[in-house]
Amino acid sequence: MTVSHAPTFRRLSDDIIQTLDPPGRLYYGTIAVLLAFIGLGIYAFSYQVQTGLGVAGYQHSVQWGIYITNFVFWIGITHSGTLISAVLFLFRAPWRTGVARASEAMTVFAIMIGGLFPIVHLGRPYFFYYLMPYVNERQLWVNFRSPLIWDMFAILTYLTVSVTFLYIGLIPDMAELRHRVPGWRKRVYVILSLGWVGSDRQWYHYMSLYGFLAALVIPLAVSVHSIVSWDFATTITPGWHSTIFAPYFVSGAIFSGVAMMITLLIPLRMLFGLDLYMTRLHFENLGKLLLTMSLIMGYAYGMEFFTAWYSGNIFERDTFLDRVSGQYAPFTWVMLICNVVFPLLLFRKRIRTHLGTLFAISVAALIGMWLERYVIVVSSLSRGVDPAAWGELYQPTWVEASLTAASFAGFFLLFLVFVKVFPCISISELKEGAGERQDLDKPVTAIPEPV
Amino acid sequence: MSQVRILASFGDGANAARAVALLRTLDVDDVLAYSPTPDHAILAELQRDVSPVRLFTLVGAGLGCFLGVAFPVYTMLDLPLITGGKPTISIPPLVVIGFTLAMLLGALGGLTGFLSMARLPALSRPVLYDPRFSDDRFGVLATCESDHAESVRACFRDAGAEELKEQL
Repeated sequence: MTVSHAPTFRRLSDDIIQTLDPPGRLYYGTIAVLLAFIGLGIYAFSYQVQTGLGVAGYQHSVQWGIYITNFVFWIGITHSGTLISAVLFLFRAPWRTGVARASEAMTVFAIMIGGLFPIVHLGRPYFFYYLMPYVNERQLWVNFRSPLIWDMFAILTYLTVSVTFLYIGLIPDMAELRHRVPGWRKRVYVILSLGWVGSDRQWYHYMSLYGFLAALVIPLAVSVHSIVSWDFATTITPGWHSTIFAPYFVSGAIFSGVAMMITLLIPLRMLFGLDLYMTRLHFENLGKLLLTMSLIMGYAYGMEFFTAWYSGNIFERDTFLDRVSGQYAPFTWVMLICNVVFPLLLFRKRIRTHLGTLFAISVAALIGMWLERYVIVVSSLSRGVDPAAWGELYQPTWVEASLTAASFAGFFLLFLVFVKVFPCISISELKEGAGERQDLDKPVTAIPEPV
Repeated sequence: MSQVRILASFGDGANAARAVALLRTLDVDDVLAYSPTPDHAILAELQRDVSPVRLFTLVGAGLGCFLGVAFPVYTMLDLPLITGGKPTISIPPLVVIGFTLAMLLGALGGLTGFLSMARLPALSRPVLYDPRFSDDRFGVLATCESDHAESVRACFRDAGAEELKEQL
C-alpha cells in the first residue's frame, strides 16, 4: 500500500508560502532605513556628476579607489550563489534545496549592484554606452583587446544566465502560487508562470534546460572573475602583474560569496521560522566550505608574498613589504586576521554548528574580503615603479562612503523584497525530495536531517 | 467513432505512474501526465525521447562562439588601431569573447528551445486541467476511442484514482 503524498505536499507548500505573508513593522522599518541610505547614495552620485570625479578623493597615483574596490567585491559576492547552486545540482546534493533559491537571488542582486560601479567610476557616466560595440558616426569600434571590454561582456552574460537560471527555477512555484494567493500577486504569478501546467512534456524539457544551464553557469562563473582579475594582472603594476591572480580571485570570490550566503541565510531562517528547511546541516556544510576556501586563500596569500620575496624583483618585493609595514598595513593585517585566522575556528564542529558564531565569522570574512579588494586596488597603485609618483594616504570622501553604504543598502533591499514576493526555497524541489522518500508518515523536516 | 478524454486524479505519484503503465498495456498512446514536481517514475513510463533542448543549446553556443570570434575580427580589421603592441588580430581576446558569447547564446538558445518545446507561454489551460496538479495532486489524461473508455476507466480505478473526469 502506498501513502498519499498530498498531505505532505500541502504541508510543504504551506510552510514556504507563509513566508510571503504580509510583513510586520520590523520589515517596513528596515526597508525605510535602507531606502534612506539609497537616497543618500543617489544624492552623492548626483553631486559627483554635477561637480566632477574630483569629489571622489582620487589622487596621484591612486586613480582607482573605493569604486573599483566595490566593483570587485560585489562581483566576487556573485560567485557562490549560482555557482554553488549549479554545482550541488549537478552532484545531486540533497541539501541544495534549502539554500539554492536565496543564493541564486543573491547572485543576481550582487551583479546588478556590482555592475553599477564601473559606471559610477566614469568621469562622464552618461557615456557608459560607449563600451558597447555599435555602429556610430565616429566610425570607431571598441578595443576588444582590452580586459575592460571583456568585463562588460562577461558581466552582462553572467547576469543574463543567472537571471535565466533563477527564473526557470521559479516557474513551477509561481504556477502553484497563482492558485494560492490573491490580489496583485496573483496577477504577477499568472504572467510570470507563463501558463505552466506541470505536464510531463513540460517537466521533461524543463529538466533538460535546467541541467544545461547549471552546466553552463559553472565555467561562466569561473571565467567572469578570471576576467575581472585580468583587469589587474595584465598591467605591469607591482602587486598586480601575477599569474596567480585568476585562481586567487576566483577562490576569493567563492570565499566571500559563501560568507554572504551564510550572512543572509541565518537571519532568513530565524525571521521566517525555516528551521525545518535550513537545518544545522546546511550551515555546517557551508561552514566547511568557508573553511576550505579560507585555507586556499591563506595559501594564495602566502604564495604571493613568497614569490615577491624570492623572485628578486625589487619592485614587487617593496610593494608587498609596504603592504604589511607601510601606511596601508592596518588594512592588510585586519584582512589577514578576518580571512585566514578567524575561519580556522571552523575546524571545531561545535563552532560550525553554532549559528551565532558562524554568522560572526562570516561577517568578519566579508569585512576581510572587502579590505582585501581595497588593499589590492589601492596599495598597489600607491606604490608604483616610480617613487616620484608615490602619493599620500588615499582617503575616501563622504561621496565614496555614501555610495558604498548605498550599494549595501540596495543589495539588502532587493533581497528583502525578493523574499517577500517569491518563495525563498523551491517548493517543487522540496516536493521532489519528499516524493522520493518512502517514509512519508515521518515529519517533513527530514529532507536533510538536522544535526 | 468519437474520441473521449478521461482525466484521473491521484494523490500519489507512484499510483499515477502505475496508471500510465497500465494504459500502455492497453495500447493507449495518447497519454499526458500532470504533476506538481518532476516525477521520474511517470517520466520513465512515458518513455519520452531525448529532449531537443540540447540541440537548441548546442546551436546557440556554436552561433555565439562564431559571432564572438567573427565580430571582433571584423571590428579589428575595420579599425586597425594598434594598442599595447598587440597584433591587429589578437587571438586571446577572441578566445575570451568567443567563450563568453558561446555561454550567453547557449543559455538563450536552450531557453528558446524549452519555451518552444514546452509550448510556453500558454494563453489557455488544457482541457480538464485541475489547478491542484500544481499543488498536491497528480493527473493522468488519456485520450481514447469511446469503445475503449470503460477499460481505461477500469485501468485508472485499479491504479487507485481518486477522481475521474471525462469530456467527449
